[in-house]
Amino acid sequence: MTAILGKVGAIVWKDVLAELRTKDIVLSVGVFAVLVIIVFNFAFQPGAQGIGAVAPGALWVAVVFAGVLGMNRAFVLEKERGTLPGLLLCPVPREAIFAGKMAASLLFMLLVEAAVVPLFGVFLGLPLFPPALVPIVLLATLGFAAAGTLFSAVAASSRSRELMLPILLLPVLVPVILSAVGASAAVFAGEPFGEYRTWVQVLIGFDVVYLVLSAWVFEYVVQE
Amino acid sequence: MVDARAGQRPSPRVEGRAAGLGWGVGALLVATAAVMVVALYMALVWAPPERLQGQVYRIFFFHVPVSWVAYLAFAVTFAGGLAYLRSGRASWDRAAAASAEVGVVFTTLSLVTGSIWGKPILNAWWGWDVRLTTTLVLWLIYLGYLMIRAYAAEQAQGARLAAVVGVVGFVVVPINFFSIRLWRGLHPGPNIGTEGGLEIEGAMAATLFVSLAAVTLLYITLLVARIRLRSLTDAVGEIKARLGVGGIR
Amino acid sequence: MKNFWYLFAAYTVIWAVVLGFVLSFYLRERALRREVEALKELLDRQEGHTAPGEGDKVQG
Repeated sequence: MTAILGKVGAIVWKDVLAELRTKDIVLSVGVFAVLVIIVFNFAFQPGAQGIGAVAPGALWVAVVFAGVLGMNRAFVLEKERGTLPGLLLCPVPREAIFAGKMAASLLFMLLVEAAVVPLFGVFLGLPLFPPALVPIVLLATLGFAAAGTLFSAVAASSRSRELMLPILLLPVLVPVILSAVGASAAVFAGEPFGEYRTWVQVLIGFDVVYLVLSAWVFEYVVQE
Repeated sequence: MVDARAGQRPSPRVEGRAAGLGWGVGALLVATAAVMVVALYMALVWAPPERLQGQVYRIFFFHVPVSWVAYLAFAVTFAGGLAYLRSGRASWDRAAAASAEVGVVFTTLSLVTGSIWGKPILNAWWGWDVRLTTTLVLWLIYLGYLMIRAYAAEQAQGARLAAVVGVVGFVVVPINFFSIRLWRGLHPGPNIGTEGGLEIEGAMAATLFVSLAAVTLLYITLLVARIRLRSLTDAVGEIKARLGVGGIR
Repeated sequence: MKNFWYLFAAYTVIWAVVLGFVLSFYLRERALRREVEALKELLDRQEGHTAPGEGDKVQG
């Protein structure tokens, strides 16, 4: 078990190192997320009456779109550099490769969110980062990373990579987007946990299903 | 087969099998047409007008079966994809892909006819209710399934990737449904798929049953015809590959 | 009966789509047949002999 974890860690470390050198993903994804939020502000008239109602939706749309952008890099980069076969030749189970790639994407996404969510609060006059939002962001991002990594690998093998990922990913992300929006709306409105417990349950259910399913079918995706 | 003597010709066996399916399509076509005529007569003439909705409700006699059979089609794609991933046999993939195609067509019909019904009854072409939204999402997932097949660099890879999309996409359906229902709030109890509160009486139920049979037969016919076309295409592709004239596919 | 138009539209759409789908089968099969003919011709030329009475036999 620890041996496997070590291997997963090595794959994560590989991606983190590559990211530290280029700062490709975190920077571009972060900037993109901020841009989406700014565009939303133009669309909704800042300070308007109903901004509290649409704010959580805008936040998650920004995060999801930016995340899709980042996810595109996860496997496309490996394909472009021709490093995917090398990664697959590693003497580790496919599940470990999946877990490593997913954990790295999860890390990058969380980093971006740690910056974007408070900024979002600043722009829209909402609480900067309510503690109750932390588990929601974690769960939603985990589900996003699990499904995103799987479909990133699927899309990377097709001819029009960057186009296929959102087309495949967004429809299956509907439960994550809905429950993340629902739960964070409740949090921003200061409601107690009981009010949005079902949303959190949906998130957990999605995470579990996707982690198990993705880890299982991943080997078929990367099979050459 | 008369030209079994053309033994060195590649894959006469595959062609023969496709020809056999051709006969199957013919027989199915006759059965489907017969049941379909009865179903159309019952739906458009025989069934009495509905008390509240008048004549428009007759859309339901096809809208409801088409929606149900679309789900059936995606279930077949799911099972076929699973079997293909397990066994790697191209015939499973052909069945899964053919079913997805028919499923997408049926889902399109379901969405369009539902929309056409909604305009006069609910005074809106579209409403973001649970069923509509779930169906729309499902439609998008299987469009993705067909696209990933079409855009794959090589056929076997496209089949594998599509199978993964088909399997994963189908598993999410219940979570999708549940989350969308939560999002919309609890919905009034369904009465065979209507928000307009359709009153089903004996003649209507019988009509619905017959048209369900007709649509299911139509699905099977289209499925078999599409599988047959796919195996022909694959056979031709195989021959071309063997002759070294492939790559234009 | 102003709603009749909707009923008519719905059934028209159903049959237009189904027939269009079937038509696409027919067109694809026809293209395939032509391809098979071309291949047979190519094969006959490559092998340098033409088996009598085979050129017109296409299954499917």
